[in-house]
Amino acid sequence: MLSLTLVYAAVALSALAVVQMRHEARAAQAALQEAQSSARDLSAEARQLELERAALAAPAVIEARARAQLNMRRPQLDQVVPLEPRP
Amino acid sequence: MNRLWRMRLVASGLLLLLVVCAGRSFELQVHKQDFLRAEGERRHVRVLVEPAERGAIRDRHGEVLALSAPSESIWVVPAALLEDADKIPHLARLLGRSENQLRKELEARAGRQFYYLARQQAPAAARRIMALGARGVFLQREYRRFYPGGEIAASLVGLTDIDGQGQEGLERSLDAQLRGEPGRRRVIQDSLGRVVEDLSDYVPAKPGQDVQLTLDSRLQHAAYSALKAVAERAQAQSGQALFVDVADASVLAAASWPGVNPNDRSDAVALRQGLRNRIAMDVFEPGSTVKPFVVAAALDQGLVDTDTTIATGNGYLRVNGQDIRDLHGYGDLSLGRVLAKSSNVGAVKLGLRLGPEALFHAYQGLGFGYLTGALSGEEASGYLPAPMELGSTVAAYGYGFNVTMLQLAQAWMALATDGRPRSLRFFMEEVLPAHEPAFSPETAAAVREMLIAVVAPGGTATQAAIPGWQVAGKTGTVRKVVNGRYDSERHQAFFVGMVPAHQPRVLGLIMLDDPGGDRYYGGQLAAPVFADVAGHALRRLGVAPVRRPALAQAQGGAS
Repeated sequence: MLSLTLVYAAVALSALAVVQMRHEARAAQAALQEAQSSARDLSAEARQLELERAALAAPAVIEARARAQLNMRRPQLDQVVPLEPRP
Repeated sequence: MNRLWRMRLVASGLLLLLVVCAGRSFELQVHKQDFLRAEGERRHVRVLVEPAERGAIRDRHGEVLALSAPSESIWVVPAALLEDADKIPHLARLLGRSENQLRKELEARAGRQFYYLARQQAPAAARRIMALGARGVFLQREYRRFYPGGEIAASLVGLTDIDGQGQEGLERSLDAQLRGEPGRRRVIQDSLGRVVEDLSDYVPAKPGQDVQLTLDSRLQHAAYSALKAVAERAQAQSGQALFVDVADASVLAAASWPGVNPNDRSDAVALRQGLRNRIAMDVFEPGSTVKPFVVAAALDQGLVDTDTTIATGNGYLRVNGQDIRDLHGYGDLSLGRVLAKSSNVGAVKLGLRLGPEALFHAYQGLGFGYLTGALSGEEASGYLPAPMELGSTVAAYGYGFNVTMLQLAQAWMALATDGRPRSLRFFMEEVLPAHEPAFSPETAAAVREMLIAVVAPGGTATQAAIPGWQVAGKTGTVRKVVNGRYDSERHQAFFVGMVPAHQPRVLGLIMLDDPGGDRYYGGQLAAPVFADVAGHALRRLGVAPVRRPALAQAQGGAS
């Protein structure tokens, strides 16, 4: 009699555990999908930002700004001191 | 009695109905099952293709030359949208079309379940359209290709079509590597096109691989700008400039003018023509730029030594019925002066000493007439005829055969290094083997020494000089063939240079095709481009300048 009760209890518990596990698996699956989709969105955004950076840092843009706004120019030869590595 | 009959009548009527129902059910469930299931799936199960992200093309420092960024394409179920009539005017306004036009567009396709309304819109614009909440309107993510450098490297990089297939340049020849594999999702959709359920067999998209080029974006920009400025001023038809890091044969800049902006797809024909990769595909007669190889071959075979003088007399020579002329009569010239004055008569006299066989083998050893393999799939092989046809007269100053810029650069790598021609590298991870030596390291050094005088005062390319570094190089001004004859009015202007002269680090080749103005010499047009860009490259590569006193001494010694 006692053993039969134990078996019933075990069956009931494992049934509950199955339900619990299934629920957790579903939740984990949903979280995984969400994470994957946010990874996609972030990578998309990274590409967008990389493009913007490339547009802003284009050599033509930088050269124009350096010359016009910052009054920069190429150094004359006598303004350059090459450094020799120490032996 | 009457009652019993009535009951039987009703019962048999019901039974009959049951039989009819069962029969119909049997017909649908068993007999026509396959047909009906297929019809159902055809209407509701769709395979959605998830585009793969195309690999990026980057320069040696990781700067972006071509990149795919997500964009949204708007697709509709036309019938569903037509029912939602009051949203159509707003939608038309956001799309920039007239209401009538949009309505006609939809009505013409009312029977379809899928129609692209607008492709590759910016994500923000797509969000505004979705915010209308019109029925039967959906987004699909696609990748759109961007070229941040615009026209600067366009002829090398190439472009893709709107579906992301490589069409030109590296985008085409490296398509397999860049492309990746699209993923597939089987879903059930309702009559409005909404996804109701995902079916099991999902294949995720495999992104393509990135490609890293040896180009340096800044030098590429410098080369293109300098080439463009001089080509426009000289009213040239086209121009090319190629700069190489001699240390590892990697291409720093490969510019082609006129360029087109690959981001502007409004004129597809002009775009494809403008993207022609001239550096690999256009062949030309190299003219005087091959004279150093004739000198090298003669030196290497012991036919002359560095002290030999060549009598060029009054600058006119007639061989085998051909007139060979110099600009002036230079009299007796050392080998160095033959190169510095670019004497055709001097080159032909050396060619005659070599003979057709030896000259042919010298050119063949440099790789003329063969693909270099640097840009496989995009190269022309040029044309080097057999010794009998080549001869050793005009061929000694660069006529009667043709080469591409890639081949000329490969040959000059032999002079810039130890006598071995080297195929250029365009890709970072690629290592190409050196060729068999075309001449000895000593010969290469001796010819380089002679080529310093070309750039020194009194040479043909004084404008190639870079303050702080010593340049060795050679000009070329070639008459173009027009309708089968050399046209004395149409030219190609060349300069090829190496710097620093004694241990070259930068090799540069510039060609301007058919300059329209009265200045058409290589020394006038191409040499300044070299000085500008190679100077930039030296600073970028950190090659230390030589102080002025030392420089003056070196130049005094050479000339």
